[in-house]
Amino acid sequence: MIARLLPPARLLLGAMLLYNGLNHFAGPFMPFPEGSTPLAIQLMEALRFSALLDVAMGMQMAAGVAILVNRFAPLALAAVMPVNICGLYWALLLERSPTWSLCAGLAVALTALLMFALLHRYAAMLEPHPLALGESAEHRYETLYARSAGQTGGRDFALALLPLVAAAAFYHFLVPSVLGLWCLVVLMIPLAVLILRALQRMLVNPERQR
Amino acid sequence: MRYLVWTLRLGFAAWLIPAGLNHFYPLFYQPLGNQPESTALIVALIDTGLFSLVKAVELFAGICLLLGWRVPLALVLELPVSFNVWYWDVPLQGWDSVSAYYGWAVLGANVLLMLAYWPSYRALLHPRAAMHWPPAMREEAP
Repeated sequence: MIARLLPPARLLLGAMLLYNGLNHFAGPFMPFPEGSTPLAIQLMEALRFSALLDVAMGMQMAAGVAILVNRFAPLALAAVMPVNICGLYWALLLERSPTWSLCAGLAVALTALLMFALLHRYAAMLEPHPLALGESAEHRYETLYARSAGQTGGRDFALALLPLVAAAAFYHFLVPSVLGLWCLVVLMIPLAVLILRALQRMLVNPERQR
Repeated sequence: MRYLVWTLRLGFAAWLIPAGLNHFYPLFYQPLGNQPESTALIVALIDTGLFSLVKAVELFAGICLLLGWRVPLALVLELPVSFNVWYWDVPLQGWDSVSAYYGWAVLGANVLLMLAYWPSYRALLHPRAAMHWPPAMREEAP
């Protein structure tokens, strides 16, 4: 049943997004929502004044075309989802308009439905512990900086200190004092993990440290 | 190469966590901008509560990066926030302002870290994608 709904859902969402974008740039063909509550008006005016609304509508238009022609649909859906969520937030919580909430809610629901239908395209992105560039099963961030249970030898410990020292130096020398200080506090967490791992190595294999 | 990635990741996580936490538990002064457009935007975001959503995403992404849990997903979630940080710091605050350095740093770190996890995003960028229901984590054979 739902499988049959996917092609019309894709066409409907693509058309909605494209129409919304065109309505902003080439229209208006229908009244653009300006807001009627103080907060809805304030946010819409700020988005318009800062031209961020142009960016959002441009993204909707580009995503609408991509979804309509079914090219780069996974990317377009992922890119437009934050814009659609902001639209729903505006319509539902700020403007409290049933009509706009329904339109924005439909856009979010259709985007979510199509993203679920393309779950296999997002699967790699959802893996809990993938390797980054240059990492291997033995040499990875999580092992050194995030898992305190385990051992790290002297050479690996010294090498793992280098990125921490570099990040700490950046915040110490280049970022204003209070903000930089809090960034340094966060860096104490991976440092503590690294030291714990080195200590476990020393306690378990003391002869290796000689 | 991995040491460069780790430096960037540690640095980005160390930035995101206090930046996100600061909204819920004030740690330092939150800049409100010194241009009419940037001030209007950030004040509207704070007044409407949308800034809480932005800062919650920042905090969540920072924790994921620091603790090593679903880093590619965290980077994707953070990307719209980083883009808005860049937009606020660079075009709105001024291309030659001090804020612009922060904007470029945040967006640059996010994009570079995403490049470091390129294999996680490759399938997302495929031009043709068939939709399946029920949703499956692996593409079914034709």
